[in-house]
Amino acid sequence: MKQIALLITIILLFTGCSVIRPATYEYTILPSYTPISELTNNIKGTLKLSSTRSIASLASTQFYYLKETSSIDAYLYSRWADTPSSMIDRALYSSLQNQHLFGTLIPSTSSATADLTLESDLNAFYHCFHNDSSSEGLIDITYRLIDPKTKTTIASKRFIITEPSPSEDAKGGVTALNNATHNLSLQCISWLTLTLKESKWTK
Amino acid sequence: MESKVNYTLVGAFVLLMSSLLIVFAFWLGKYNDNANAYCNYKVYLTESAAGLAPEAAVKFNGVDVGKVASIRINPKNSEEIELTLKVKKETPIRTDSTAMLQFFGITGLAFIEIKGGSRMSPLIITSDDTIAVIPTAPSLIKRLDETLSSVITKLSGTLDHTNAVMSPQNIKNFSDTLGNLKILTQRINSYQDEIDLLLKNSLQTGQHIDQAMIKVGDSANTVKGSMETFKITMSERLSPTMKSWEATSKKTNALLEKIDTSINRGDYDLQTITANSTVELNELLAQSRVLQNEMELTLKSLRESPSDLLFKQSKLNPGPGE
Repeated sequence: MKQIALLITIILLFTGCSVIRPATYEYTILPSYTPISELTNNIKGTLKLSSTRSIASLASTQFYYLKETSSIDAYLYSRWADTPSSMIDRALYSSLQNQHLFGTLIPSTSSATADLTLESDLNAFYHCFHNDSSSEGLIDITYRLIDPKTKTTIASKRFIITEPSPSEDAKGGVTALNNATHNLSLQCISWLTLTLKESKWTK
Repeated sequence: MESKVNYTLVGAFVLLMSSLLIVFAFWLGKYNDNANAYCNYKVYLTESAAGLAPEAAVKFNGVDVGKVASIRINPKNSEEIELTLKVKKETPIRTDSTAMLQFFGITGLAFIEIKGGSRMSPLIITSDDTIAVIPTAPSLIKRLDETLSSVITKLSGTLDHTNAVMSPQNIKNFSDTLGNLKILTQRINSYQDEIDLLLKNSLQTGQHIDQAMIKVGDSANTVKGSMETFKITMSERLSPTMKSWEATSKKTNALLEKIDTSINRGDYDLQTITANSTVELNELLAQSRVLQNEMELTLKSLRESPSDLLFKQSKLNPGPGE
């Protein structure tokens, strides 16, 4: 009797494992590797990029899409290779390095201290679908420039970036969010340049 | 008998007398006074000019030098008497000279006395157009009057104070005090024997104190000897202990210096020690957060459909384009 029960359990388990599902695609956002011909580092201070804090649902590798009815769901067979916040951090770090805006750029993993710290909160990183069947990539993030010595906020700005999606699927969403991320990096660099213009850190 | 009158003699007498009369009239009218030999001065008195009349003498340090030409009340100030003095030009009236009213004895007749004026002071310049003014000083009568008035005022005040002090109440108090003093004296007299006895006892006590002090001195010498013995004993016995203590102290000091050097070098800097660990811990926490989210999603799906664990019955909802 015992042998029969064990046999049934094993059959049921194998039945569960035998479900065939399509392969899951993993996507990432590649940092910008565009070289800058002219050096533009006109800020003598050092900048440390803190890790971007995100809302709980975005602290995963799920690829979420958003419908106009505010319903949110994740793609079943598409995932991010990293969390959105780490991909955004990597893209901004790479862009700042290419721009040579600061004398030294310190990643969040370093124990070194810097003259300035850039903190950020990620509120949205979605592939949004509209009723007219069009879609776009949406990023909502707030950056804060902090003076770590005095623990005071020098400046703060919220960026809401949208980029049209070339196709209404996960691949199109990845392309749109990729473009949005690079656009965000450029806008953030412009904001930093404007904020620190004629400050004590400007050469 | 017919008298013989010598008309020539009579005529000569009449002419002589007439001439003398004319001369007397000129003298009386001061015709011969040389006006150019005098200077005019003004004097303003603030006291009564009673006894002073026009033509009264003006003396300079007792020498007649002129006369009072006119007396009138000052038209500009009714409290003053304006005198115009006619004084000989050679009279040395200086800026610090003063004029005062003086009297001839008890006759009541007054004259003006000019006094003072140091040799170095400049002379007062006067002219017919601008008559100089000689300052006035109070006369003796006025000074006496002022002094007596002051004395009388003070005397009156003193008498008032005396009256206040010698009030019936104060006199009674003073009388009571004297009575009390008398009683006190009588009591002291009654204690005379006791005072004598007290003095004798004090004398004896002093002698006892002297003897006690001698004994205290002896005791102090004994204590001093004991202390020296104690000192020797302590130095002999405590010396090794103190040396041992000193050595221990030196070792402790060296150890503290080593610890101080290590601390300054940063051997025990918690911030440095934990810096790398903190970074790694942060990364681990971030990854844990991702893992937690994934687990929450899995648990959520299981909670919604527990049979999926074995049969995967729930229908999966593919995304757009999937």
